[in-house]
Amino acid sequence: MVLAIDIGNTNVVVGCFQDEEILFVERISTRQSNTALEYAVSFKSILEIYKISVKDIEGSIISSVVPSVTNTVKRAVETITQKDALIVNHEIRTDLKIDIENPHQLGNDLIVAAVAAMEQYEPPMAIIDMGTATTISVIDKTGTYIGGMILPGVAISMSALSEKTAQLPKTALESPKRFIGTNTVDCMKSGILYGTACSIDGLLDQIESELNMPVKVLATGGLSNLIIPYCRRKIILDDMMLLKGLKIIYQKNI
Amino acid sequence: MILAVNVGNTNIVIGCFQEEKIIFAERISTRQTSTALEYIVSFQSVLEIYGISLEQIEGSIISSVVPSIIPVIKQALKLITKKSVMIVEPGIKTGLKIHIDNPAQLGNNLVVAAVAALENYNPPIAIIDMGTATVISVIDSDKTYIGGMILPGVQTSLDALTEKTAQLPKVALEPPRDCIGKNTIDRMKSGAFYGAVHCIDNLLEKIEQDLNMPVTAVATGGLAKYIIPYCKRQIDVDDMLLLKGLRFLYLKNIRKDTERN
Repeated sequence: MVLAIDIGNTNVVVGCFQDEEILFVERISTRQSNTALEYAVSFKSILEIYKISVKDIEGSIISSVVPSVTNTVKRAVETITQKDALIVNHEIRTDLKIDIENPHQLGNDLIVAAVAAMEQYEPPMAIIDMGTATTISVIDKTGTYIGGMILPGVAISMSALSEKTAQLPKTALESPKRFIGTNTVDCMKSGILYGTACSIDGLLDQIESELNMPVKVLATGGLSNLIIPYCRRKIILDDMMLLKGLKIIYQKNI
Repeated sequence: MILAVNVGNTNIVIGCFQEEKIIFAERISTRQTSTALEYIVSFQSVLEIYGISLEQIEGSIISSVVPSIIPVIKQALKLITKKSVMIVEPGIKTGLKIHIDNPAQLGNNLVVAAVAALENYNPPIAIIDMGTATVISVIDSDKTYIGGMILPGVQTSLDALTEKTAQLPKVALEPPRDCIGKNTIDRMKSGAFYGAVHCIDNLLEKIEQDLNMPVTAVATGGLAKYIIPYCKRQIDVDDMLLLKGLRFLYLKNIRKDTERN
């Protein structure tokens, strides 16, 4: 079994693979102040819940967009598994062709998602990852990562809206009763859901006109299940894309 | 002359009208902790800069989406102008037909913008107010305010992105060199800027589908002049929409007010 860990700005996602099968996927909060032991306790609890014995874990791989947490989590995983953990960085083998100004600047999560997408679909494609940030990665028809966009994430934007205004309440991210809202909460729900879907649809159209060809569109990340159904375009949802990518990179490097 | 003051969550816009003509429109930061004296100093400085004497001010009107600040601003204006101050609140005569769940819940700024838009354009109208929040108001062909959408403001969410992530820097809200960004800063600019542009275009299209007729679109608010010119639709930008609406409401209510006093 392989442990795949994806450290995001809000959550640390932990998945466990037995060959191709995903045995579990769980989320814990990303806390910059947590010690290695505190993360180790969380990981140990998860393994216990799923009745997986530490001896069955043959290795682990970590991708992170929070550099200050990376080593803490690495030590935690190594304490639990008693084996070295692989870290996704620019030295690791991914076989992904990257053509941007500074390839080292490319977020690890974006590399991992692109690797997973390339394994399953034919380029050109656009990959949408909806988490703390909403990122769109563009892979051209030669399979080369050529750049993309980063948007403020849906949940952080919604929180900022109620924090920075006097009269707008904290509102759940859920479907409004109708598109044109007739009360404050429905107006906010409609704005965030339809507004985000409209942004994504428009950006995808712009990418296609820039590339001068249609692209296949994939979406992943905690909030994609909620937003993507409001998009006009056909978009394939895959919650497990990052974990799948981590497993592929693990196997390339073991 | 009339002073029109629009209190937003980020800025207070103060405008001065001589009849139809706007003598000035200036912004000061909204600070919930500022005292009446501090606002007096700001207001007096603005008037001095434009060489306007206090005796010339015949009255003033305030609209605010920050309720806690209204008494302080009202006191400040009253002390400066020595005249009663009109507040946009339920009970004021607007002539606007409102058909939403609870009309009293409708933000004062939205009422003011709708009144001004109906003075200047034929319905149906979509009004986009781009400030701390981006608010779209829909007025149907019957001149009735029927609701809308409230989105996180473009700058508000861009600031949150930097605050809530470890590796993303503060960037200016401006168009990137390329739509498909080749570095982190251009990626963020593209996402925030073009994301907002497409969002507005596509929401307007959906509103037209929903109403089953084309609408006139007009945009206002601090960020409109940066974003709207990139939209593919025809959208008028009128920075002064709220001030115009305030003047209109002032004139509509002044007679009633005088009678009451």
